Amino acid sequence: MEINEDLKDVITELTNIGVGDAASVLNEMVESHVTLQAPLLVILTPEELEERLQNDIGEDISLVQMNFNGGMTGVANLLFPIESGKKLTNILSEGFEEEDYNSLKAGTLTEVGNIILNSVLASFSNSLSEHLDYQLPEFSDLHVTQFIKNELFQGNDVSFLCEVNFAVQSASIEGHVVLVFDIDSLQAMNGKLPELLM
Amino acid sequence: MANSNSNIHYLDHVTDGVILINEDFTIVFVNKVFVGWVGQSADTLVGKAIDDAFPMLTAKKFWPRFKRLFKMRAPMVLSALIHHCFVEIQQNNDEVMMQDTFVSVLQGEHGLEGLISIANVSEHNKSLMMVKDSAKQIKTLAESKMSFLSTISHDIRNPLNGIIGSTELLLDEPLNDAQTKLVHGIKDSGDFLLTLIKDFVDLTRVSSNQLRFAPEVFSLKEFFHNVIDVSQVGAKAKGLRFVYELDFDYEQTIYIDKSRLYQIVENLVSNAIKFTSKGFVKLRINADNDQLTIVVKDSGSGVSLAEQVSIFDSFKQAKQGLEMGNEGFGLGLSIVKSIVTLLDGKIRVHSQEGLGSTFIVTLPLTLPPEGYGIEAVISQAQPDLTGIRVLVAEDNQISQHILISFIEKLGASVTIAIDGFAACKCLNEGQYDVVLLDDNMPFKTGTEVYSFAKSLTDYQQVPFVITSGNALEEDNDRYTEHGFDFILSKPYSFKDVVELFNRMSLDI
Repeated sequence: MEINEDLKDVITELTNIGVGDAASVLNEMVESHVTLQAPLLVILTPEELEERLQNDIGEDISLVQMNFNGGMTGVANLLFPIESGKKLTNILSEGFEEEDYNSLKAGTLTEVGNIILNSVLASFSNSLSEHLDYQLPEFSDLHVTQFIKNELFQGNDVSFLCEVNFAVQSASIEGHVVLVFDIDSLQAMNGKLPELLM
Repeated sequence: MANSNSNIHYLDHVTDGVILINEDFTIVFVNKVFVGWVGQSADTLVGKAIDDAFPMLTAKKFWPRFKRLFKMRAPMVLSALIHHCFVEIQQNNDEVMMQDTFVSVLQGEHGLEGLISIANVSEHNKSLMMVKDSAKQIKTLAESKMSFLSTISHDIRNPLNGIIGSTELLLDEPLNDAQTKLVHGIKDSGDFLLTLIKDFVDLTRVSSNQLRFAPEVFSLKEFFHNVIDVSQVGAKAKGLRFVYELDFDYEQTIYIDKSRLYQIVENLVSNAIKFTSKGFVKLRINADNDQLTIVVKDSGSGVSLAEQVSIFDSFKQAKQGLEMGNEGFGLGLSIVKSIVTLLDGKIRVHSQEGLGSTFIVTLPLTLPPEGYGIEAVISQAQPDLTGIRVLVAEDNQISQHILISFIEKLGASVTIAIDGFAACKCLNEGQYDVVLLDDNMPFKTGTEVYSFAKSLTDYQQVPFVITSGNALEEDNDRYTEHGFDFILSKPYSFKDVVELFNRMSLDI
């Protein structure tokens, strides 16, 4: 399905609102001041996404993934370069050091992913008045190629990639939110454009 | 969002603590595990608002998220590492239970419900912390070992410089055969000590995963011709035939760590020479774009099947080697195996006692990153340094003598400064085209003298060389970062000095 400029603008706007909400939640939760910025959203095919992620993040990534269905169906993903994931965990968690083990990192990053992806999806759900059912977020460290081979990209020819910049305790950490909607959800969103753009 | 099961008491049979709340945040169920943890009966908890039952939930880090639960209907994850716990529960050991908590929203019989599932991760986290502590201790131990080796390396390299350099100078003098043999013996022993200290450093790096690789692009032909030149000398000295077969495009360049590749080939060839008393040593090289194969075959004593199993282990020198009076701890092959493995290659040995050995190494080749240039070939010819003024700052008298002799042999004039202060004075008052500074000198170190020199307008373009017994990779990084143009590690030979000045003429 071709994504027109209006639909892209709406998705960008809703993602930005969601990321902004997530920043407020993170600020309430941790002692440090957290700033989240989501400056850019691009539409990519799986092949383009793979190339982009390899350039931006590298081969190995930390991934938090949340499936949703109901009014819309798809998968929301938060990705970090593995080292950035460790760095973020180090800042947010007492007693964690960058060389620590995954099982310690996993809990913290799952929670961060949960907060950001919940907020982004809630932004879509509220604005589109669509009720969503969510599965629990899942964490994994994996290779970009494994991520792209995931069944979520089968049959869904576009994904929306949004760079998210975390600024916390003078550290700047790059992450990426990747949203994949099925065609029906995109068409439904497209159908609601007139009221969303009012 | 799923439908909750009316058979809610099934939840008494799970290992997590479970709390069920309704849309008013009132507790409607707690399972037996949770009751056991908090030491309160289910009756005292059910019907209470969750924030009344557990006031800590009103903390800023929980409540704003928690109160949006039924509005968002999205699951919530609360990790032990960020929050420690969801509900404060004292365990038998008086420690607070670490908890990973998952909250899901379900459609219950009377409206939405929040299913709070709490996992006790205290033991898991404690075990991980213990593993982490031991890993830290191992790391500290490895660092102390490295620091000890670094000191030993420095302290051995300085006197070795005197031994190796002096024997080289002595071999230029008229000596009779017996004297020449004795001096060669001293030089070989010095070289052996140097190899030993390098091997120990490498072995320590391997055991602490700190072996570093710096790939570069270079000509295969140039590389193997140098290896062959050196090997031929060694084989000839033992009365062996050295045969080689190069099967690759002579124009081919490869992208790999040159010094580590040299270490692999040199170790295999010198081992073959060492363990062969008569006959031949053969080196065969095959390369295409994807793979480099190195085969070293000898007509030596061979290795028994039993010994082949442990031949790549550290400190395992084959029995025959020991019987033949070969010195060494058998570190070479262990290091070769580690390097080959870290380069994603393979090494294997075919051998039979009395019928010689064949070592085969295969290394995968990759293309260099775009724009990566080929390393210039450094000439081995002696440069003519007539008219060049060189300042050498060195406090050790033997090292002074060796450096002066080597450099004057190339035609340059040398001024010597015996400490850091004298070096600054010379730089202030004289004019030099090249400056060599020892690092550990009285009054001012070589790095301090360098900083002083760079404050003078006359020395902005002059090449500075650090000469030091601190020869680990970290030391070289430090000197390069400080600004030194070249590094001449001790012990240095005349060949090293020739290469230094040839490199200088290429770079400057």
